[in-house]
Amino acid sequence: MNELSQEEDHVLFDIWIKGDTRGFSALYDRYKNRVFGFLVRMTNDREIAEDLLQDTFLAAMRNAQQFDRQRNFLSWIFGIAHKRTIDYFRHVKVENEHLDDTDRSLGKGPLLPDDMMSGKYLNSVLNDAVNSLEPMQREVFLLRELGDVPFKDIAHMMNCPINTALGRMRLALKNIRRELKKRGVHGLQ
Amino acid sequence: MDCNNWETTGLLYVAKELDKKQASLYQQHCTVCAFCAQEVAQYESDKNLYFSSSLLSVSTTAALDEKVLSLCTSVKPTSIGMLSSVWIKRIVFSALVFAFGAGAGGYFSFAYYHSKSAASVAAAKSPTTPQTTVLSATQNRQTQPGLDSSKSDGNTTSVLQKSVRTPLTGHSAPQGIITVDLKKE
Repeated sequence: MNELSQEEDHVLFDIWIKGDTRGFSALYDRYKNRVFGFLVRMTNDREIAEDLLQDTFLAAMRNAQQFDRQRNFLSWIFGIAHKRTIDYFRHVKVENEHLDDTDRSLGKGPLLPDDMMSGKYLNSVLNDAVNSLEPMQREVFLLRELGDVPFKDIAHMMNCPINTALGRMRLALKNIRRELKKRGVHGLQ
Repeated sequence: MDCNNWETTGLLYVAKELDKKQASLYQQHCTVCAFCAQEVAQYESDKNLYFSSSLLSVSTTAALDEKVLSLCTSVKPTSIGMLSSVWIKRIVFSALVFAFGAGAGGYFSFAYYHSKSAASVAAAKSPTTPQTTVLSATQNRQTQPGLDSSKSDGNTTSVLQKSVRTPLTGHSAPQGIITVDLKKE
């Protein structure tokens, strides 16, 4: 995330905190899909992700005073989304169930031949690759790539040393590449 | 062969989380380490091709957007009711510290006052004071027979000291100090 974007976020945040809802709406529009992508992939259930998205932005609204201006807004909102997800798993204890439900939850239907070369196919393969990751690896990967959350903050969120977070990220990248390669999608190699 | 620097430093480098000095050191390392150079190039390629936010994001529905916006914009973040939990904890903590401090202060001042008054009572009960009183009472006995008194202000109150003769010595001894209203007497 570039500095200009961060500045814009802070301006929008100031507008929001002063009571103008347009600031909130703009920030929501800007990041809703990323946060929702994180929640859908973490829970593998679109309905639950919808509830968690609502909870996340409501919690952001309630805890707006806690926002540290040294951080970027997206990292902060991802921190809240992450916490909501963890709380959800703690309460419902469905950690093992959600791994098998990917296709239904993301609304992926059978792929047509034309889709094979389109962005839709790539999206589908990437979804499968991300969902094939170990939960901890997927968490680090999504926080870093979708949320732009610094590794230091990821380590703090996951209550682990930064080297552990980095190790999980390395494995996540390795496994995603392997999955993509298995499905005929190659990067640089 | 894998290089450990990719995990410990390379990932921070591609995430732009290293300072300038560390970043330039890692760049130098990449010129001599084929593995790290390959990993950096691979990551940057993957980032452009697959790890873009557009591919990883999932679109929300219009109904969901409307629901979230109507819910979240119905409350203002700056209202007093929206005090953050951290501030609530701070306020509660401060109140507890204040209450504890006030309690401790009260206790110590009470203890100090109590010890002081106990010392004064002890001093009043010490052998020198009654003797002095007896002496002064003995001097006053001539003016008021039957009563030993040491006047304090002559109008309102006075210390009346009953003297009782002890059977063996025949000396008078103080039996106690009683505050008496002289006007009534």
